[in-house]
Amino acid sequence: MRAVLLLAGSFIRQNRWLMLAFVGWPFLMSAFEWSPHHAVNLEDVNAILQQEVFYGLAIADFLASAAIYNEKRSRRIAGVLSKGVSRAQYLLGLIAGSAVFGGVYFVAIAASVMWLLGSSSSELHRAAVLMICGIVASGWVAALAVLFSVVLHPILAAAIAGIIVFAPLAMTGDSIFLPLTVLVRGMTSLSARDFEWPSILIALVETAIFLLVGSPLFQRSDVAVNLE
Amino acid sequence: MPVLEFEHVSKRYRSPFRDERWALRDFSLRLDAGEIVGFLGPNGAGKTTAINIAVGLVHATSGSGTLLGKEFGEVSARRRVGFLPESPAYYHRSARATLKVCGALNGVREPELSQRASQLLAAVGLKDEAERNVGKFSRGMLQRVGVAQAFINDPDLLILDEPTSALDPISRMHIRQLLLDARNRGKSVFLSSHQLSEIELICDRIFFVQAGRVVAAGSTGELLRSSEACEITVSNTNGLPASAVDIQRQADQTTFTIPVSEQRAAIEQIWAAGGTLISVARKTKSLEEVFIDVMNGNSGERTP
Repeated sequence: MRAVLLLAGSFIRQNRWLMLAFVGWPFLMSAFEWSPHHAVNLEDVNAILQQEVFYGLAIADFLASAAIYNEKRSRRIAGVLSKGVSRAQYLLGLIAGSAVFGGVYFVAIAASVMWLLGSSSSELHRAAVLMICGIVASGWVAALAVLFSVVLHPILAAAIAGIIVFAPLAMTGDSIFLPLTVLVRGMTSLSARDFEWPSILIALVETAIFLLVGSPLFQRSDVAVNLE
Repeated sequence: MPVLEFEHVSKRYRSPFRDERWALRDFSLRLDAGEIVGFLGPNGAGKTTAINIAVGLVHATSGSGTLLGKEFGEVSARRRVGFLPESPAYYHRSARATLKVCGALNGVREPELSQRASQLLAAVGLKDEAERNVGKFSRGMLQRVGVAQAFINDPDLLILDEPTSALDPISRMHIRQLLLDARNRGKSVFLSSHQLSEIELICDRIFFVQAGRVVAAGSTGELLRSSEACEITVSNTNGLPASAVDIQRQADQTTFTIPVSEQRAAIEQIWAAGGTLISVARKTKSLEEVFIDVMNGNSGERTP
């Protein structure tokens, strides 16, 4: 567990400036919307929220799918995987790092929405839904992207994971096997929603499955190909 | 029990757009506890591939091997290994934090972790740079951080790929001392290097590898002694020993070289033929000359 936390911490540290930019983005968007003279337009807030959630999932996809490739290119991966770290722990570290990145970003979104809509109990509840669902969704997207990046070039991995993540959102109706659709609808709705626990649970189970499938594949791959 | 053993390991690299290439072919090697073994070969010989297989970064195409009694790739064995890759790269944090992360990944706990980090930074001459970001370090300083992190878990086996490259003579001396101290404490060291003078100074045994195979091996002393020769200068004789090489004639004097083992017989033969012995000089080859001989196939090859 300690190794996973260290790897997740290193992942966050590597992407700290990007994370800072992402944390600032929702507040910048809210600042454009906010006015002391009139009430905010709920449709505008909803549009901003949808856009921000989309960005959060997209960045989780891109960061996670490029992580292994970047670590190989920088040769840092040799320094890590030559130590007492299993390949599964390594992947879990990347996924956890992506989930924390997403978590921090969704906290920022929740705070910026509360700034616009006030901090009543229903708003606090909505912020909690946004945060929890955001963390789970980021982890799910990251695990899927990491799974593909183990066997594919990162651009291809990001594209395929992106299609799986975003294509169902354009369709009507939910699938039990694609819990992200339900989570995103919960995150982007401005009417007070309860936690969709079944979908959260399914998303967590699927994240674990992606990790379990990805680990043996990663275990078989050479991470320091050197033709000298 | 060997601390590191390769048994008939082969590694083939394949790429869809390039020809396949064998980096190792039927490669076998054994390292016992408490010795420093040098691993020499030209660029592309397969040294780094062998090291990467040992630490589980690359998988063998065929063959097997053990690291500290466990199959290659076992996490529990890697925890007891100190590894320095050929070109070390680290996350951008202070030298002390880098060492502590490396130690933590190998299961070292506080307060031992902090103590060892401070000791090792001092041992590699980075005590005053401990809080500086390694991203701003020179190549030589990074190399010293690399050596220090390899020692952070007090490993039973050190696998070091070019540990003294980019280092100044004083730093090289520090590293040499660290390695000798480790051996004196019963640790084993597997060392790949092109700094042949370093290898000659500290290694107990040497393996020469070429085109993915071990082509010669032996103790450092044996390898150097086996290459010793005598340069003999004589006059007034036509009867030279059959094994004489590098024959040079000048006026009535002839100079030639023969293996040390044949020195006595050669001198007696010259005397018997009525020749006059003018000088006998022992020629000792450096490891560099032995290396070149081995790589050119003139070694009187000894395989492990």
